[in-house]
Amino acid sequence: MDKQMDLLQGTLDMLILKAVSLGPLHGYGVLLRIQQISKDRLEIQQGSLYPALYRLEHQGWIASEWGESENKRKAKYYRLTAAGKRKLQTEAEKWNRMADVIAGILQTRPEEV
Amino acid sequence: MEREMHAELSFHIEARAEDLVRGGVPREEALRQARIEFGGMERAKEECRDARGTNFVQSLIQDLRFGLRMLRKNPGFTAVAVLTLALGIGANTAIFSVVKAVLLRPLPFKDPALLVRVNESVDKGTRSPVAYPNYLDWRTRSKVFEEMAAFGDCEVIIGGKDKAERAFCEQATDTYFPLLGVSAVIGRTFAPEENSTPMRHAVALIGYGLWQRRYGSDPEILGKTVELNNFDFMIIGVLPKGFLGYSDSAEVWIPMVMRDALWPQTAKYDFLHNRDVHYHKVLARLKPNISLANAQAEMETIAAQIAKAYPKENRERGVLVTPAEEDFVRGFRTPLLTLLAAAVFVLLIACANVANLLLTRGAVRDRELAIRLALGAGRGRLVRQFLAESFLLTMAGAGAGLALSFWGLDLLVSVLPLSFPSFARAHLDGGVLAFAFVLASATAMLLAVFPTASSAHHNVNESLKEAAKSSTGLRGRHFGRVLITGEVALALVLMIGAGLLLKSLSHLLADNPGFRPDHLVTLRFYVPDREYEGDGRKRFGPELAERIAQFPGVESAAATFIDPFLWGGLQRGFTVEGHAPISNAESDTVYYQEIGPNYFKTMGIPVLQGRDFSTRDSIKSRLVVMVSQSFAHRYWPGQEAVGKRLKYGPEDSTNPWVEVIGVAGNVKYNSLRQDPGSEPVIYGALLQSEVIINMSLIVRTRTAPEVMLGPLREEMQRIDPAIPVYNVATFSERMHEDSAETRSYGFLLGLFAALALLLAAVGIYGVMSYWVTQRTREMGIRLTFGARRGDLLRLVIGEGVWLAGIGVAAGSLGALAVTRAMASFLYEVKPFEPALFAMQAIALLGVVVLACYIPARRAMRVDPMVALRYE
Repeated sequence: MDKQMDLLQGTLDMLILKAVSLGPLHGYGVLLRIQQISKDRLEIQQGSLYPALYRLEHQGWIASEWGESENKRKAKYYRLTAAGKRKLQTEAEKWNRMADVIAGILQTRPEEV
Repeated sequence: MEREMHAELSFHIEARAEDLVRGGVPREEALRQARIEFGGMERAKEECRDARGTNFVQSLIQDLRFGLRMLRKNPGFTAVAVLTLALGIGANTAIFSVVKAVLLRPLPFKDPALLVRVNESVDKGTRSPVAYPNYLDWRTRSKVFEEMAAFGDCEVIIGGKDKAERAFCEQATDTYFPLLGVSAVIGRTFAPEENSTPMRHAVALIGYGLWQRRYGSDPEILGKTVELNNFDFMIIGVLPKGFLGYSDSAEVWIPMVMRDALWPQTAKYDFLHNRDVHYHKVLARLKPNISLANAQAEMETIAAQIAKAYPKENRERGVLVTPAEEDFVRGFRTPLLTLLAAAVFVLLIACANVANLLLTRGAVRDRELAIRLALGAGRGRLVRQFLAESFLLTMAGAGAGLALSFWGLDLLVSVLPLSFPSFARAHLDGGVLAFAFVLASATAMLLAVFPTASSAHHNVNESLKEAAKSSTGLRGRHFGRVLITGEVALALVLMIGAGLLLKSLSHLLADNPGFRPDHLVTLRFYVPDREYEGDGRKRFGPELAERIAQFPGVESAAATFIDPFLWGGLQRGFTVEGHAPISNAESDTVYYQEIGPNYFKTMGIPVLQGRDFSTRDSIKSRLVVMVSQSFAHRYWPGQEAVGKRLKYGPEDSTNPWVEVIGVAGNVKYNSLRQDPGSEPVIYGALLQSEVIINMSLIVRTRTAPEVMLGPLREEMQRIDPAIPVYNVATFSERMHEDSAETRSYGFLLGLFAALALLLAAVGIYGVMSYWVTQRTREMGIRLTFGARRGDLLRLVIGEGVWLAGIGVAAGSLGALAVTRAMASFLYEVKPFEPALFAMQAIALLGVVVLACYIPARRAMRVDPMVALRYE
């Protein structure tokens, strides 16, 4: 796909959890990683990233601490908590089931109804 | 937290910009692009704050910070509000600390909740002391008490020959100390055998203060001798610091059965075996599972058995079990609660004023609130904001109030005339601080309700269009009406209460006491014991008076055994010849006083019929009495009292009949509030007396009485150095002290009333000014349509007075209900005094008119053209 896709409602949280599950990241790093693993096919509103991070932290799925960035600057790093790991798992399963169902519906032909 | 968020977002922008720079974009341009990509920074921050969840403490701090900023921005508003609240909260805190110390503090004895007094009762209601044999029966027969103890209290002279001093002594059973949970710090308390055989064990306990003062804290004190009323006792123990016995004044204790050692003159009455001598006080400790009602029921059964066995001595007598605590709080409850109620009234008025300030300011802040609502602030957040502001206000008020009561408390305690129990010390402690905090919190909630209720109806659009002014105005007006009415009502109740007290006071001071109190002094003394045996004792007082009468500057002098306005004499049963038997209750209203020659002349009491006592009425002549006019009026109405006869005790007693030789005018001798007509007096002659222990010398001086006090006391001790002289005072001092209670309640209530009036005036002024501002346009229209300026003045004042009128009606009704509780402090004033009610109401309405006048003048000066362009 050439054009970047807007993010589906509610999926940003899951993507963030997935991104930090691969290793601690600062906010900008989360953005970069999602873009990297989606091969730049997803557009993320940078402004909406941080409220999502704060919400996830408040819910206890990710934790943060200040550390040093690649270029020796102070940055806030997020990592997945145990609760976050479980959350990511259930969210992923839910998403996959949903995707299957939706895909199934979309593939339905007239004669099958 | 804010800073961290800012740092995090900045880092994001920087990092993005650096990536762009690496891609070849110039730095300036890169930063700009990074920001654009990021989108609205402030919005993101706000969303982050929301996402972070409402951390209660943080948003509270934020609210408080904002509130503090708002309060700082309006220093005038803040100062007025804080000062108003400080007055209200300060008054409450100060009074409460006294209430707590006196009414709420447990007695300083073991398990005070289980401690009860057991009294005999006369006529089923009046408490009477107990006959010792009755106590002994009660103790053996009752099963509801863990322990019982009897005691008596009286004054003694310690060390007759050297360093004679007067002290209070308790005669107590051995059970008394364990019952109160007190043990000696040195030595021990009484053993059972020391209280079994009369006059066998001359042992004594001394108080800590006496031990320090008189014995220099001698560690070897045990076994030493203390001389009490010239009788030697061996000290066997020292009681703990601060313990003053149940009578709260004792410094020395002897076993109950040693009583006759102190008063050999009265030994013949046989206090320990005579069921007719009702003298002792009885304490008991309830068993843990026994209620007061159970104890009362059982004691009634026992009392009935005793009355059946000894009907003559127990005529009309029952028993009364009451909580011990009552003894210590009874006299203080009503006055203190009255003052506390007055303080609460002041606080309510203060609250109403501050609420009104908040409300009017709320109207000014309408636009601010509307903007915040439009920007998406939740209503809950606004409510919290109001709470935070009023919380800050009241806490500042409470802080200032605590400072006020810290300084004011000593003043308050010194103004209060009551002699509180020695263990009740009013001070600002944790409990009082907690009270102030709770009070302030309640106030804050109350205050937050008003602007919140007002903002809850907010229509954002209207407020923004500024049309909402009229609608808040309406709500404000409704509140304003309630405020004026309520404040007027509360202030009136206080004014009437204070007015009644002050009127009582003026009655007390102006009333004729029946004698001439100017140039009159009283000196109390003990008749020295050993030197004056037999007849010498009887003559001692009158002879001393004769000698003092020769002293320069003395007009005349006389002896009496009463201590004027402190102790009014004995009550003893008597029979009037030819009159039906007199009940105990009735004979208790009659006082028996023994006086020496010249008493009536010295006091300035007229002898209305017959003759005065003379030196010839002595032990050798027949017994005679004089009576007061009220006595003659009660028992021989319309007849000549002189020549009639009466005797002490019942009709069949062996006492001789005594003849009335004269009738004297009625006087007050117990207190200024006494009605001499209902408390008649029988006067006996000191020269014919049976028992004399101590008496007072009454001296009429030619010169200023207060400068005579010292010389008179010295002269008495020059005549006989062994005379302990005490309770020395001029009559005007005595009477001043006697009226002190009414005076200081009047003063304090007057102070609260003045405070309430001032606050109410300020509040009404505030409401009216706000209305006038709100209605400027209306005024303009009225003027344009031909209203005269005087009409506007009348309109504004009329509105205020009309509302105040409702308040006056409500306040009068409230006062009727409240002042009933004050009846016992009033003197010759009824709780409902129409003239006084009217006077206070008029004064209050005058203040209301004044408070309305200034805003009304402003309404009058409205320029129609400006007013119509207004808004």
